[in-house]
Amino acid sequence: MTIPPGLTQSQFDNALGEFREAVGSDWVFTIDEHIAMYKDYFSPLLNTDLQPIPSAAVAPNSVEEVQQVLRIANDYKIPLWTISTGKNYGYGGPDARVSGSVIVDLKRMNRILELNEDHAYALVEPGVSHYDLWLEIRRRGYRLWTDGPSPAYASIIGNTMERGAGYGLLGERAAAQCGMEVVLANGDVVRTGMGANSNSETWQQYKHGFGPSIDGMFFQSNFGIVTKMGIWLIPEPPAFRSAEVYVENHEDVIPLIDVMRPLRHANVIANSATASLNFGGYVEGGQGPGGGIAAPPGTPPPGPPGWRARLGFYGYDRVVETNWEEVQDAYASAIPGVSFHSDKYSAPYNPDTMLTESKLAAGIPSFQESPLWNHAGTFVSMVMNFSGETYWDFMQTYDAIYQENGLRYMGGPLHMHTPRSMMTLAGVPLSPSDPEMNQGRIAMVEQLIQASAEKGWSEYRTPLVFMDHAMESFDFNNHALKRFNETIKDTLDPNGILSPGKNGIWPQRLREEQA
Amino acid sequence: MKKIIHTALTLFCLAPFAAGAQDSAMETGERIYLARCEYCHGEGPQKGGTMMLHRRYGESKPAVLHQRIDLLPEYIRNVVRTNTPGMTPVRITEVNEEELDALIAFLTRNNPD
Repeated sequence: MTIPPGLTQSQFDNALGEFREAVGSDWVFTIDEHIAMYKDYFSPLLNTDLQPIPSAAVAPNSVEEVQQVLRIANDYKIPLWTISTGKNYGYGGPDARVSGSVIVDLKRMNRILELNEDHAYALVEPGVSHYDLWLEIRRRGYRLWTDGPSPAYASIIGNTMERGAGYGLLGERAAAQCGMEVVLANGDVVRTGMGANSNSETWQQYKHGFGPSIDGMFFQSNFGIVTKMGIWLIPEPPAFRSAEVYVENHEDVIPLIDVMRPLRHANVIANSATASLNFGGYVEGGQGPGGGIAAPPGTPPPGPPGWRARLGFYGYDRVVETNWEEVQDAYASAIPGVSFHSDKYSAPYNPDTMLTESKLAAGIPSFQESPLWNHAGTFVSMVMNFSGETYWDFMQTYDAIYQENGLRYMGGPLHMHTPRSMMTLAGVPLSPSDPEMNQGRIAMVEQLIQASAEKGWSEYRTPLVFMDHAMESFDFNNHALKRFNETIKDTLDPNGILSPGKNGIWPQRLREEQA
Repeated sequence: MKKIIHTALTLFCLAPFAAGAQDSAMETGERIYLARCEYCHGEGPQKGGTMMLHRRYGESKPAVLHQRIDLLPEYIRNVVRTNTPGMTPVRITEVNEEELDALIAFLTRNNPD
């Protein structure tokens, strides 16, 4: 059994007794069989003794129980690691960064506290998944759409705080957040934005509050435990067109992106658009015809070579049709050989008759990606200029590093969920049965992060094992941002109990140990 | 069976998420199946688990989980609680022990004696 660092077995036994008193003995997990459920099976550290092992997991069911857990952790100086549903796969799942941490599993807090059709929002607890919310909207027959990641078992709060991406009109998930309740390390409960007025009627309608907006501090951080969050929904559009733009040549990806940019800025393309390789023209595991792009194992059935962008058009019927026609004209005049496919739908929508791609753009939960998790891999997720030339440079830069490591660059999808920038996802294969190779791949990702930083590209989110590297790349003024984060961390959480190491933010106690 | 499940799914979408405390084990099991398993293992496109089981078994076994008649209780428990290819462990905070027993009763209901 692993115990928290710095504690004796008898101290830990006493702490466990207190945790059991706080949340009920059924909700404190310590046996190996249970601890194994709190392991990230996609970790690059899998099957090595470097992968942190939790000492226990506790599952509070209320804000009061969360406060009790924090009090006990402070008393014993036990590092905690908070998860909402623990499904942040590819980025760490339920894993902590410090071995011996106690996992705080918030899945039992799974209440949809409010669902407001008139003002188009929900107030949810951390255990509520995208799928749960979608089901509840349908159950009530509300004419609201939501949005979220795929697979849809992810927590709304967890995924939003990781700044995840959806595929529809609310694809920039962090931008759909409106109002939080946060339990600080000392047990104090803060409501952000207008929620700080106990009688507020706009907690979920007005984001900015009075004075500094503090919501952003709790994204990808370890400054508090978010126990409630407002999330914006969107009125069901009368019409919706799910569209695809196909280009034939590898180099066509440049105008594919550049034509999209002003249309995305102007909200003609209003959804979280994506672009990706059509793998059909590429050879599995080998070099592609266009520019050295290799299709990953498990390549989809053959289709046309080149690239495709996926777009969505929403609103009144005539607006949908006009926007789609304008977009086709823009692409047709810029790219010879471009072709289009689209499917039109009108309210009331029947998910059973919608195509898979259309469902994603309509925020209808998908689980199609689940089996893809069968293969092991890790991500590099870079934010860069919304520019074809930049993306071309990115592919060349990455392919060179992949080749140094005996691989070819695998073209991951591009996400345009933020309208003014572009996020690219590069996959790096791992093998659960080959920890030695995985160590090489970890070094390769560190090389990619470094090379990216030099180009001005930065990670928007990263697996646990790369968090310190990613934070180091934010180096302006002798890492002023990191020092600022540490100042806040030490002030709010002097015992350093909350998720130490999250996004490269370490509490003073552990910084000193590392020094 | 196809029709029953389809009806159940429709009802489920209209009925409260958390059904009454008087559920029989079978009803609880079906409710858990619909809430926690069906989205991957049910009928229709876009169901990751069904796609994967179809790849694994071809036509030799139904790919849709609730159509199987050969699932043994210990096998179900093991798949639910441990890491298997394509499916990470379902924790006790997601499906508790009582709910898992009910789910097993539902998934083994048509097994030959």
